[in-house]
Amino acid sequence: MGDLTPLLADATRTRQIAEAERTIRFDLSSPRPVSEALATLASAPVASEAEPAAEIGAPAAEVEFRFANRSGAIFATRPFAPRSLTARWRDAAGTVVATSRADGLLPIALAPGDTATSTFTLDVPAATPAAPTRSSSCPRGSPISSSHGAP
Amino acid sequence: MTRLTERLPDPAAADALYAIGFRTLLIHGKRLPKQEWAT
Repeated sequence: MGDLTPLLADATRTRQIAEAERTIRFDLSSPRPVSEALATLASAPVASEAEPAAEIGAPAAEVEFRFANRSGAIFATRPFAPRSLTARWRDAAGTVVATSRADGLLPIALAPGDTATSTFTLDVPAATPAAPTRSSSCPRGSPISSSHGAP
Repeated sequence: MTRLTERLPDPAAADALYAIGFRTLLIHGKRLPKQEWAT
């Protein structure tokens, strides 16, 4: 934890409430709304951002997925429990060539503009092409996605 | 959660802590800027 001066001077986020025994109590607040909507994480990576490569093989692998919040709301996970997502496997042209299951924990909370990585257990299709492939994950039935690059 | 508290005073970390239910921040004297105690 760094110098808290900027945070304590930010009236939109902290308010001094009481002081006793060389301890000061501040109430926390935020100028931003809180959302549990998975669409808050609906951010594909910017094309220019380099994605780390990983070599994985069937039938399963643990893969770190990067989540970004480019909405105006703070994403919060409730309840904080493992989620089952659908991974979409795309070839170099962006065509979905397979889907599989990915289980893991979403970031517990993510502010606008922030990113976080979470490890998911990913079922790897046996028929995944040997050619460069990118996988992305999304909640089942939802168009949103997070991504993980492959060479 | 530890990672979030370690990132303070980053406003994004403060917002994330608020979003998961943190409402109170207790600051002990040794962490406070001197002027806080002067007022």
